[in-house]
Amino acid sequence: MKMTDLTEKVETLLAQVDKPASYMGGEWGSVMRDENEAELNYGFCFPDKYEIGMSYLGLQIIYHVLNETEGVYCQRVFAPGSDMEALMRETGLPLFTEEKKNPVSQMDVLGFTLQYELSFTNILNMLDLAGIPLKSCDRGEEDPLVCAGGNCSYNPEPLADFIDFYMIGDGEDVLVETAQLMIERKRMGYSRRELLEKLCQVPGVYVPSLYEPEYDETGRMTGHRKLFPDAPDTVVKRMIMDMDSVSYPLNPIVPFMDVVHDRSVIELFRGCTRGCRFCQAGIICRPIRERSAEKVKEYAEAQLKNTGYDEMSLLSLSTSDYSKIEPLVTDLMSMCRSRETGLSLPSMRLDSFSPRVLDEISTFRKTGLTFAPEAGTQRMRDVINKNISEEDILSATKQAIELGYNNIKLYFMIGLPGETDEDIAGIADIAGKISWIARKDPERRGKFNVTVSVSNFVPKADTPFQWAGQNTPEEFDRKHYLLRDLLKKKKGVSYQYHGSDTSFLEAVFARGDRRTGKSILRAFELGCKFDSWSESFDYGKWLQAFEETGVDPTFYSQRTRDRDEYLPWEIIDCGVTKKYMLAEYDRAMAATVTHDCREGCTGCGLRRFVECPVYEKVKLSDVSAPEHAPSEM
Amino acid sequence: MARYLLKFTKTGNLRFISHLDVLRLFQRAFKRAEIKLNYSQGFNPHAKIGFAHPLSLGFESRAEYMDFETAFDNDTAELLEKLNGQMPEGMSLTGCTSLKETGRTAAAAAVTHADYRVVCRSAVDEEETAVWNERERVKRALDSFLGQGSIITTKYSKKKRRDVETDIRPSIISFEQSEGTDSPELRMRLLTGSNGNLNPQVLMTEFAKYAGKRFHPQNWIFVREEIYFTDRSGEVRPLNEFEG
Ligand code: SF4
Ligand code: SF4
Repeated sequence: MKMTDLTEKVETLLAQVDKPASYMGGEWGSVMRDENEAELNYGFCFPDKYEIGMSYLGLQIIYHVLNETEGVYCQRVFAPGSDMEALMRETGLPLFTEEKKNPVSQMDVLGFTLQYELSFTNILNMLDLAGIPLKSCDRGEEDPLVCAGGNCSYNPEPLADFIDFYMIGDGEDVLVETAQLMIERKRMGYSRRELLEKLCQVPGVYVPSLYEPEYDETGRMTGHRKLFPDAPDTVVKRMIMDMDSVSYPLNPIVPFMDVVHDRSVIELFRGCTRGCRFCQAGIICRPIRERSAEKVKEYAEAQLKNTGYDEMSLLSLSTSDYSKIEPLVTDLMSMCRSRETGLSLPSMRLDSFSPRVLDEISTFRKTGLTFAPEAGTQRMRDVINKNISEEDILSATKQAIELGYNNIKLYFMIGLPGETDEDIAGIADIAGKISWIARKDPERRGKFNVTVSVSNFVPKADTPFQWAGQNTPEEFDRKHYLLRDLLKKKKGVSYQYHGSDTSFLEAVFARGDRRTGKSILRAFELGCKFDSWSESFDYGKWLQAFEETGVDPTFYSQRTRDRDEYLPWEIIDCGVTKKYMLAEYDRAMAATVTHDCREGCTGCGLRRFVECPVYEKVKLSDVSAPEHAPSEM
Repeated sequence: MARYLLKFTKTGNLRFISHLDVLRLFQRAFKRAEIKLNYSQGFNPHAKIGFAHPLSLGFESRAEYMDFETAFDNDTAELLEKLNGQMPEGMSLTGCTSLKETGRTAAAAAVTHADYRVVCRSAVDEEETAVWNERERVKRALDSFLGQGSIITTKYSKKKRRDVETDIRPSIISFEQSEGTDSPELRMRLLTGSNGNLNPQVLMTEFAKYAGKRFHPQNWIFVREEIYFTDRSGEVRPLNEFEG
């Protein structure tokens, strides 16, 4: 069947909407092929606006990997802005692909990336705009398969009724393997059900419809009952162990319009071993896997040449942890300089550089310095295992001032397990001290700005804090006012705060089970979408949705889980054992720190599946076993 | 250093990218083509690129002009070839000429006239297409429209906080139907620049109102065909003959 081309219809609407360039396609680097020649038409869906999606490196990687796969043509799909959506609904124009303006419903498969819980209603809205049945069980043989991946898929249950299959972990290999199976299906004519039964046996793939959740009389989940005998007992995340072996987008798409991050991006490594106890990425992205410096430089050079960007950025969880960061940054700086390109180094710790390199870095654009102490007192930082002392923060500030930075931004969290008002006061203390250091310097007086950005703690699946209850929105608000009043007394400090209603919702879905999906569906029906955009977030409708679906959201957000309780996301094995996380939880409650495992393996459990490169190094450099190894595998 | 004037098209979907987007697009294209531009001095250096008379968002154009300054001398044919390889679909470079190094007048400031073609997208609205296909009636309406001594439009001015009236008649140099086209099509030459400035969409709206014809701008394609400057002898010449 030849695919429908909606170009004419789309163009008529473009003159009437804000940001028409976000629906145009055809950007430099975008892949324009004949969709009718592809064996498998893939719609890669980003459940938010174009300018957000195009700032996300994962999109470029997935787009590249899929379009490199034999027989596959991958096009992009974004959530249209409200003005565009209104026109589409009015004129009966269905959701279309960015490149060829094909109806999304004609794709063979749609892959959603799940980056944040507040995008969930957008997924349903996009399916609805495409005219595809929202629930997996209502889709027929001819409907596209709907799959998902990304950080939020480590707790796949809230969206389990809507997603046909999940891919957990690094996407490079599993995307190709599943695409090949779908091509095979078209050749062999398997039914949808047969395909799903085959897909569930691909490592890293979770097919929710092949399991049924079980609950006890108190409403707690007790397990996943298999409905298909060959489905795996647990789904182990996929890991790319040799980062140099996977290909990287050297011709990324260069948007026409201004997007949030509009620059060349090179990923240095995946994973982080610092072990902050609130951090999901730190657990699910383990172990550390680096790209070689040669590859990084090769990719950087090629991207700059192919895109013409005037800025390049390095991306990783904790970039300065790269094993040979200083020589790499020095080389990249000279490459960038000769091309009149800026280099930005986010999430950098100043202590990893010598003064000479720091001096050189600071001749590049000064974007401001950020720091994430996350908590206001040493005790609280020990609880969360954030290994930064006040001394570190203050001396880095001094250094930054000397280097000529004019502002510093500090990130904190409130509502952490075991927090007292003293810990809140500690945040104001640090901010005050920093601002005081700056004001001592006569040249800086009045010129130096300290921004305190506070977010609300959201307990996430697959973290040592996955058992902890969240503060109530009222408690968050009380702490926020307390901090605001304390900060008012400090000069040169500004304060940014996130709404507690959205944090509450995030907590519900970060640890929700399959029943919470009913509330997402109802919220969508009531008109919720773009929940992460304050202008469209409607808390009242969400509360109504919970009420009408009989879901008590506080059961998920505020309840502290029992140690031996079955957790809805246990069907996924993130590589780190529950036992390890529980031991870390106990150490947190005792305010005991655990060292970075680059100083000695702490037995997180990854070695059940792979040879951990961090472990291999530690062993080779003969660091003796740590005294506080929390658990063995 | 050397200065050049580049002529390019902006067609198809690219009509929806803004002036700033085009600027960014060219800066990147220059970098990809490894053509070194001259940068302004100062705290926030920017490439010396200038555009002649910004095009309204949504309009196509066969005659966009951009002047720029390079760090080294280049052969114009070579420049054109290198840059053409870096253009997205919908944008192609149709000419490149050298400007006087010492030229004081920017190409943008020299613009006096522009030609436009306005085409009905027949597939979209049959009723509207039919109305404009009655060529004889359109012709009569055009004649009497242009026969007026003045054509007053009112527009709300944010600055003055009230409606202001303008006579657009002096800005219309010519306005006629195209002959022998499949879809209804009109052509016009309008004053453009500091001595008068009329947007073809405003003219079409006024005319449709005058003639009592249905007109929805989104059902039409607006194409800028050429822009002109007026030389010292008073002759109106295409901008690519401008020498700076
Ligand atoms: S340093 Fe801490 S917060 Fe940052 S990625 Fe690593 S574990 Fe997470
Ligand atoms: S296996 Fe050991 S060394 Fe490797 S990530 Fe886990 S704790 Fe660290």
